[in-house]
Amino acid sequence: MYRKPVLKVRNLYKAYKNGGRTHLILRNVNFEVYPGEFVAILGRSGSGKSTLLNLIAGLDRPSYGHIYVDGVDTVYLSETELTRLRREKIGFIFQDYNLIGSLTVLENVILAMEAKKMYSPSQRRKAALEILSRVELLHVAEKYPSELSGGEKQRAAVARAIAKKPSIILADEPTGALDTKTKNQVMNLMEKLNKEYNTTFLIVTHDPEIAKTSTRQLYIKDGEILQATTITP
Amino acid sequence: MVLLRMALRDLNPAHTRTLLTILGIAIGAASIISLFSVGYGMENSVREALNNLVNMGFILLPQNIGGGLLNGGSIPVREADRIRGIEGVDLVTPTLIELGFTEKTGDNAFLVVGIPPENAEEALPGVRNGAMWNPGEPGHTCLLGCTLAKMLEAHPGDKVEILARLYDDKGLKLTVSGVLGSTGVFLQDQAVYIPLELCQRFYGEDEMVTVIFVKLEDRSYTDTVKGRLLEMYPNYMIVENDEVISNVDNILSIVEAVLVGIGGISMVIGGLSVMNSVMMSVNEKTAEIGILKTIGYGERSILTLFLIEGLLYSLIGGLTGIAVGIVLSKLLYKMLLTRNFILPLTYKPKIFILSLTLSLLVGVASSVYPSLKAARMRVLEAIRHV
Repeated sequence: MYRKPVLKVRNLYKAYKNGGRTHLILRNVNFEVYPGEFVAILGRSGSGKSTLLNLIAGLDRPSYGHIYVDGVDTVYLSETELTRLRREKIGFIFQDYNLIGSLTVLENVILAMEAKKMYSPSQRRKAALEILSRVELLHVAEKYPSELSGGEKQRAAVARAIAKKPSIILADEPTGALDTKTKNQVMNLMEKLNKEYNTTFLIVTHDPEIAKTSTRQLYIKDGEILQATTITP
Repeated sequence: MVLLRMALRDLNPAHTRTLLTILGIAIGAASIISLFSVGYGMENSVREALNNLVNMGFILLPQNIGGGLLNGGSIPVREADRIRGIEGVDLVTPTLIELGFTEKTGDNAFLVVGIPPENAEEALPGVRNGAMWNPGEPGHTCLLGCTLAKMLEAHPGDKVEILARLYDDKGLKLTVSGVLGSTGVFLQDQAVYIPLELCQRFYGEDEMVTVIFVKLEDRSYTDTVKGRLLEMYPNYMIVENDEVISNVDNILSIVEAVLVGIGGISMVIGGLSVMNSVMMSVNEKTAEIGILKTIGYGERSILTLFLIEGLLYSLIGGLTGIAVGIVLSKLLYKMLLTRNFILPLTYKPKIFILSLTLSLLVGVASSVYPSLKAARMRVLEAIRHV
């Protein structure tokens, strides 16, 4: 049976001009991500993996090629339409957590739901608490990000990403700032969300250990996808 | 609304910047409140005084008043009876205006105003303390303007002695029957009002007065009475009260424009401080703007977030300014009162509305530029500030 990909990247190129010279960061990138997959893009620093993630999220524009999210070619979307795409379909997890410091953990989660205008205000609170319970952060719901440990911050960021039920979650080095123990906790959490709730993940990382959690791995070198490996759990 | 809460929490009163910005707007609002309450107070009292004194009619003055009104009497008092005979004339008040002194006030001269006792009720402001003259039997009684009463520390029932010249040994001994309410006009408040005949006798101006105030039954008689007065007194000056009031109105409009100008300048300075604060806030929150945009908040939401911040600064500043303005004007009132000057205050609701509306408008208008800058920030550049 034909499965419709959540994400389809076709003939993607990205070049930057620097000091009169053009640098090709991505060249002819092609791949798909299907619903429920946990895909890891592995590559060294400077290989172009973060640029790829920024292009998929509509934070940057490609030089050439097409990116389809839920069948919509994002290359032709205006800034307002890209904002709507991020609001409706894409969840983000950053290496530096990127939580809003002046809001509590609970409010950070509600913030994402509010952007998408999900539920009524009282329902939002209830749903946010449920999500925090799922990521085992209920005890710090009313705390501010500055009061949390690194692992807790990243789990809060995961909670915020899944709160708006996006089609795909993009994670940029999500364990880059964590020690081994908390790194495993966060990866286990994402694996659990993927398996139990069928959440689709696309992670970029330089850490092969992290990639082991994924169902499929893509290797990127000098802006090109080298090979694809599928892990059957 | 979590976004609104975010804007509210960012206005931390512990931040010096927040306090200074609120202070900037508050100074503008306070200056409007204090300036206008004093301005309108003066305007009201001048208008009231004019209306009391020259209500709907004319003032008959000697043609040559080069030495001012204090040349004693130059109009025979009997002319008042002739004017009373003109159709449409309601009240005629022949008035003698002289200078007086007391031992207590030294060389601080004041006006001694002689008016017919029967006209006192209508021609003078109401009595604040004590009683008006008994028209039948005024005797040696007087009414004191409120400022003079304060200078003399005199109350109803007290005796005062008025000297015609500073170093006279003997003066006119009078009993204070009442203290008048404030007119807001310095010359009227620093005056003593005595029965006309007594005044004429004391100053040796028998049968003479300085001016004659003519009040009409209603405005429809203005032209006919003016025509008759011009016929009867070709050598006198006849001033129409409306002209006086309209001249005063012109002066008051200029005063109001100056007040608006001063208040406006204060507001502009307040606005600049709001713009500076919102701009700093945008710079500090560049990363948060990036995060919000990544989550899916659009330009309109980001714009609203910072406009709310500007609005909150101006709302708190405006309300604080109104309170400070009231306190300042009252302090000014008390301070001047100790120097025997009564500064009337009038708090019209429109001053409060004007002050708060201007604060809000200035606050929001000053936040537009930094808010637009935030809203249009490129998401990738913003997120790199994390």
